[in-house]
Amino acid sequence: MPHKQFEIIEHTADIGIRAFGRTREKLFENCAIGMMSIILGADYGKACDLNDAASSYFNPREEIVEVEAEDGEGLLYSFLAEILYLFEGENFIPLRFNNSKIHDRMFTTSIPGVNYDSNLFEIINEVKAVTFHRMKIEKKGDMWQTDVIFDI
Amino acid sequence: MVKWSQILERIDENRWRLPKSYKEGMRVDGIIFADSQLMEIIDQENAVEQVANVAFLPGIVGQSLAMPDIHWGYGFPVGGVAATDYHKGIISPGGIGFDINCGVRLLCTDLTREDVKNRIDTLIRVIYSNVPCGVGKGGNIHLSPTKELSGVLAKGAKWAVSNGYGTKEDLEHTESKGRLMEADPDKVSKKARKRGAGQLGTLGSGNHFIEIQEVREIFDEEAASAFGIEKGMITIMIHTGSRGLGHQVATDYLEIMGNARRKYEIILPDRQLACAPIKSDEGRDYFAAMAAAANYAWANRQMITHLVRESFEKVFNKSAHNLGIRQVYDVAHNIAKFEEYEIEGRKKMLCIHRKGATRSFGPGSSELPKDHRKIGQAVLIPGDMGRYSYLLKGTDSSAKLSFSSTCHGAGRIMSRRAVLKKYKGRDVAAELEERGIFVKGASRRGLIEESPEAYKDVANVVNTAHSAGLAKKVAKLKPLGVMKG
Repeated sequence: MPHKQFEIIEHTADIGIRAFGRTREKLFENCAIGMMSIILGADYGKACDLNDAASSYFNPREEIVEVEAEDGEGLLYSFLAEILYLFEGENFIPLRFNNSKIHDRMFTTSIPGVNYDSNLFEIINEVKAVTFHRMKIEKKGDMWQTDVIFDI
Repeated sequence: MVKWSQILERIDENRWRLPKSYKEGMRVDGIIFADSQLMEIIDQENAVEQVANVAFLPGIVGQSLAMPDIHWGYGFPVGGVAATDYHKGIISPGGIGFDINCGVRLLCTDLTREDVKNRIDTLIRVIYSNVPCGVGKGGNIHLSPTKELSGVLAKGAKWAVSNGYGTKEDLEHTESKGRLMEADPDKVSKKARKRGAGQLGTLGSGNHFIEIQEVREIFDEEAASAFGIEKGMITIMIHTGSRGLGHQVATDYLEIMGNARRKYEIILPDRQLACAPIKSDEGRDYFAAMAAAANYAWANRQMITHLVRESFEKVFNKSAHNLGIRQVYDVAHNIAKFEEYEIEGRKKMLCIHRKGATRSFGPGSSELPKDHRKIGQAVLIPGDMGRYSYLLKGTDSSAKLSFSSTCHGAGRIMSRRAVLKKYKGRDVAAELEERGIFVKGASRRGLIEESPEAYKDVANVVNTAHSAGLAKKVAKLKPLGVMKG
C-alpha cells in the first residue's frame, strides 16, 4: 500500500514537513520532495508527473549528488542544503531520485530533472535555509520518519 | 505547564533573571529585558529555553541576553545577544542567523506630507518597478561571480559608492561605514557566490520592505535635529539583508562547524548552536565569510538606496540632491562584531553576537558619524506595515546592561500559516488603503502573511527598551506607502 511521502507541519515563524520512508534513502528523497513542494506548491507535484517525453521539452538534465557527514541528521541536512542550492544557484528542479544509497557516512543519488522556468513554475515560498530544528531520524514501526523545519 | 514568569526572578520593572541553576551546563545567568505585558507573550513560547542554551557556549561573558522583542529562533532566540571572550571563546553562526546583516536603513528628505500626498501610489509603483522583489526574483545588476562580486564582498557599500551608486555621506552614516575590514572573499564558497551574483539590488521576500513614512511625533528635539529629522518630514525606510549569498554562507558554516564539534569537544543542547573557537581555522574562516556577506548586504542596501533615489527623481522631476534625500543611518541587526568592553575593571575584547538585535552605542564613540557623535548612535526599529516604526538613540547605559545592544523590531505573534488560515481571502492592501497606507506586494498571500495582526505592537517593545535604558526614543514614523517583497 502506498504511504504518505510527507505532510506539512506548522511552526511559528516558518514552515516544516514530517516525512516518511520505508528505507532511509526513501526518507531522504521524500524530504527533498517535501521541500520542493513548499517552494513550488502544487506545481511541483505536476512537474514530478511529467514523463520523460514531456520533460524533454523543458531542458532535462541530470545532477549527481554526493554528500558526507558525521551522522544521519548531518547527512540529511547536507543533502537538502545541496538540493536547495541546486535550485537557487543552478536553476535545477529535481524530478526523480535514482540509485539512492546511504553507505558509511555518504549519501549518493542521481537526479534527473529540468531547468527552472518562471513561465512554468510559480515560486510560492523562498526557503532561506534548511535547519536542524526538530530533525531526528527514527524508525517508527516499519517506517523511517523525521521532521524538517525550513527557515523562510 | 510551568510558566517562565514563575522560573524567572524579577530584577526590576524591565529585567528578569534566568539563574544558571535552571539547567546543568549553563555557564552564566540569562537576562531577559521585558515588562509585565511582554512577559505574558514570552510565557507562551520556548524562547527562554534558548536563552538557557546560549548560556552553554564556551567563553560566554556576562550573561546570555534577550532583548524585549525576544521570540523563538534557530539556536539563538531572535533578540538574543551573547558576548564571548576573543581569546578563549567561540563564535556561533546561530548567533548571527541565516540572513547575515539583515538590517535597516533610514533616509530623510526635504519633502513634507503635502508634497507627496497625491503621489504616494505613484512613488511606490515606480520603486516597485525599479527594485526587484518577491520570491525567486533576480536583479538587474549581474556581477561576474569572481572578480566583480569579490569587490562587493571585500568593500561592501564602498564598492557601490565607488561605482557611482551613492555618496561619501551615505558611507559616513552607515554602521562600520558599510564595510567590515575582516572580510575575506576567498572564504565565501562558490555556491554562495552563485546565489549572490544575480541578487544585488534586490529586496527579497518575507518581512523585507521599503516604506515611505511621515515623521509623526518627536520625543527628543535635540537628537532629532542632529539626525536631521523634523516633524512632518517624509522619510524612507529600507529593510533587507544579504539575500541568498548570506543564507548559503550560514548553511555552509553550520555544516563545517557541525562536523568540527567533536574535534573541539564542545557539548551543546542544540545542534543549531554549532560553533568553533574564534581563533580556530573554522572560527576565523566563518568570521571572514560572515564579514564578506555583511559587506554584500551593505552594498545591497546601498544599491537599493540608489534605485529609490532614482525613483523619487523620476516622479518629482528633480535631482535627489535637490529633494534633500540624505541618509540618516544604516544598522545591522544580524551580525557578530569584535568590540571592547570593561569587564570587572579591565578592558576586554569580545565577540558580540547580535541576532535580531541592534547595536546601540552611546555618545562619544568614534565609530559614529561626526554629526551624531554628541547624541549617540541612531537606532532604527521597524514595526509592522500598519502601525509605525521608531528612531531611537543609543545610550551609555547600554554598554553595561547589554553590550551596547537593543531590540530590532516587533516580532511575530502568529505563524504564517495561522495568519493565512485565519484571514483567508482578506484584501490587506484594500484595508490598509482605507487607513491611508498604500501597499504594493509581490503577492496577495504575502501581504496576508505580513498583516499587522501577525505582529506585536512595536511600541510595547520600544517602550521597554526606552525605560530599561537600552536606547532612548527620538521619533515615531508612520507609514504612508509600503512596498513588500
